[in-house]
Amino acid sequence: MTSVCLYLQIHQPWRLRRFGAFDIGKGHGYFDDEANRTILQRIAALSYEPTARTLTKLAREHEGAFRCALSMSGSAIRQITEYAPSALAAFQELVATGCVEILAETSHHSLSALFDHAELDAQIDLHRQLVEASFGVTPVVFRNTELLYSNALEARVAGRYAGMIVAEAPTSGRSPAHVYRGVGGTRLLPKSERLSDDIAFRFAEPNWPEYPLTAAKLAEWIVARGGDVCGLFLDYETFGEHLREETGIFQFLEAFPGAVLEAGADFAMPREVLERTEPKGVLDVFEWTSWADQGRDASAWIGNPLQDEACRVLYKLLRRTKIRDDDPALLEDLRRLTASDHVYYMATKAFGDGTVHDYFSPYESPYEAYIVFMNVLQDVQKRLGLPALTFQG
Amino acid sequence: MLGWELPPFFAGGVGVVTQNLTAALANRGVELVFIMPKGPEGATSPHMRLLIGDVESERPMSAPPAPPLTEDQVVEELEPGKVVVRREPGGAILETWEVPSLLGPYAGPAEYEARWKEFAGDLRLGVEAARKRQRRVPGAPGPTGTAPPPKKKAGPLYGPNLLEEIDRFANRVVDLVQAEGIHFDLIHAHDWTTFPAGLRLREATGKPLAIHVHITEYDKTGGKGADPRVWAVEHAGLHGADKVIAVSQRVKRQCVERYFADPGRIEVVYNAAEGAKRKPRRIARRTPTVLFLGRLTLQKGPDYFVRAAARVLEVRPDVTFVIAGTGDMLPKLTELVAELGIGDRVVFAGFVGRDKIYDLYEHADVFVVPSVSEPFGIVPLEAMQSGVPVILSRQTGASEILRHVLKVDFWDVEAMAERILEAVSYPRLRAEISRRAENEVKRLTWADVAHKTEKLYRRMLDQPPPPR
Repeated sequence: MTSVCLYLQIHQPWRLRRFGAFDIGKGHGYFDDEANRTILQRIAALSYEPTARTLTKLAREHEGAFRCALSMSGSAIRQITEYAPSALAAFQELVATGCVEILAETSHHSLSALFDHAELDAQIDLHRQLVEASFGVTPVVFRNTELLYSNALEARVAGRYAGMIVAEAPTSGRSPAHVYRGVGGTRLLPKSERLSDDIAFRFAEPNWPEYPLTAAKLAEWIVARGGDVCGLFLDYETFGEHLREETGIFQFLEAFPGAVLEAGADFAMPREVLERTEPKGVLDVFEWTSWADQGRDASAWIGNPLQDEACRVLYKLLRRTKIRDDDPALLEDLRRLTASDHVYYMATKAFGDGTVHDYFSPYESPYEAYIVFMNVLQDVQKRLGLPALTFQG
Repeated sequence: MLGWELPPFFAGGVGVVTQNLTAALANRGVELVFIMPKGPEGATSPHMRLLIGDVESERPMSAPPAPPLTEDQVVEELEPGKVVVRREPGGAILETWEVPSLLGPYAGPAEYEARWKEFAGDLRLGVEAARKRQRRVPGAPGPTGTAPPPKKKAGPLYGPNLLEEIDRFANRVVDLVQAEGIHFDLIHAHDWTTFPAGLRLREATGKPLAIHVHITEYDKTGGKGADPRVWAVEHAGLHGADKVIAVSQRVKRQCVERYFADPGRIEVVYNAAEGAKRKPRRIARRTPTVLFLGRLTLQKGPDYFVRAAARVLEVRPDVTFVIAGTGDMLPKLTELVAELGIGDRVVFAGFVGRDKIYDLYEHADVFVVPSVSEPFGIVPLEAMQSGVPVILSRQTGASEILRHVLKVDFWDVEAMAERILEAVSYPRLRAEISRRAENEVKRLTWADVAHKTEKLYRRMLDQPPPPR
């Protein structure tokens, strides 16, 4: 029987305010509290809360037969706690049903796996503490930022988790309908990309031949494809924000568990699937893979000269700040800067082509994103009492 | 097609645009007859029939198309009005003549009158001399259809009143078209000076009229003190034409808001970039240089540049600011620089000819376009071609389509200063912008502009759309 593994990702960064060159060294704050609050409250009302209530209802109705997984970045949990306490309560109620597993990830949705393994460990710990405090559960399956994965990362976390969530890309050439093993032995649960994207990208696309997508249709496809597992990995905001209520996405969600069960598949949480399913083979992944952009690689965040310099300077300042160990406020500011979003906004590869980078960016251009980020780092440099940064071409 | 200027005869911004557009249209197989009020006797164009509707002379001058110019036949302007045409491979100068730029699309009646008075004495002599010469060799084209024999101080053959000139040209155009027996399908008139001619020709022939708005009186005056007589001419054109081509959304908005034109008849066709004249070559410098290039007039916002410079210098005293260009604000700007105490960091480079512009770009780290009101703005495209990162006023038409630039509001001196500081401080930012901008500007081609224009022509004539 095929087990459907529905995993939804929740993340919100702390967006920076328009920190200009003249703000450097003036003791100004870095983050746009007003924008962050407004955005979070809007999404909480459109998506977080109604979707959590729907999932709770489904878990109860199906008496444990419907189960799923959530991964919430620490920065999302903290902003939800601060700005949308009723959404937090809805999530707590959902977790209390026992049908929802929360995954481990980094506290600040960082790229520390690419740049600083000590920081990766520190952020995973911070996240675990926050999840324990907020929901009373301890994550056992790891999900790295944007499903970035490689052998190097697997070697770092091997033995610490019941398994990892990965993108479909690492299984290239192999069916994503199975559990695999990393070179270090970690069990890997891949995303079933096409079926996931049928919901995320094609659900509300009238030109798609299969439009409209019904729960019964998708359930039928899942069963017809077969295999041990179907990893439906989605952005949580797919429900209510990316796809508004008017599209019928909530009706789809409500009908989905019944349709899957009726079609002859079941639901499982990642840790259950990873524990009980025999791996189908070993995935050997040298280059970073992810679930983002055309290449499903790391090129959304690294590779252009702006992104590379921003990361290099950021992690250097972060290490210095940790060595000094005397300014927790500064350390927290820097950790907020490690969120992958900030370098995502600096991507120039497809700027102007109307891609998702433009959709998510609060900036007019990737150049503005870089400028603000670097101005902030120059301010950090001053706070550390170090001579002004100079940059080479 | 009706125009007031065409390089090399009059090389203003609109002239350059007209030249590129007509060449690209001709390339698509659109047959053009170009009528302009003034040009050297026997003047020709490589890609179209050129008629000079000489408003003073008794007879029109026309000549068959000349063979196209090759790359070696460089046409350039050394200083305003002084044009050099090299027509031999290797660049030997064969003909030189001066075209005083007394009349240009940027001159309003008041400015024109002032200029006229200044030059009047000199000109009267020139007019007389030219008349005598014309009687001797009436309308004789030069060898291989090139420019007339070299003559110093031939002088412009214009009367002192611009509005009268425009009116005379309008009548002249109708006569000329009838006398020459020109057959055509459609009239395309560039900017207000030719609108009356376009309207009268439309009336006389019943052919549809498209007017091309490159600039309005509101842009020229920065919104203050627009000349009501010019407004009236523009208004008549916008309301009498069958179609209006605006070079940007902001021009379209002005046509609607300031002239009450029907938005349904206005189409936006953005300008494009000329092919790069020279491969950019970055010059290594010890101190950063920030460039302003343009006429020193209210419209171009040089005073905002100077104020931003002062703010930058408070933080980075090693930056040099170069102001290239001349204009009526020069005295005010020098005063402002002195007042702000930044005279040692600001260089006034004066007027810079087209051949020297690329030297300026090569020595600049940042190019600032602080225009208060710019219908389109070709200059930032040139800077981008030369690999210089551009800080561009949002109050320009070009900013509607350009993405690989840093945008500011012209009035936000603080933000302008910040963008300059940041561009100066972050070499990778400059490198990335410059790399992407060069690519972006390559995609803005005159072939595309001509395609859109032809599509518009065909719609006006109820013909099927043209192939790409």
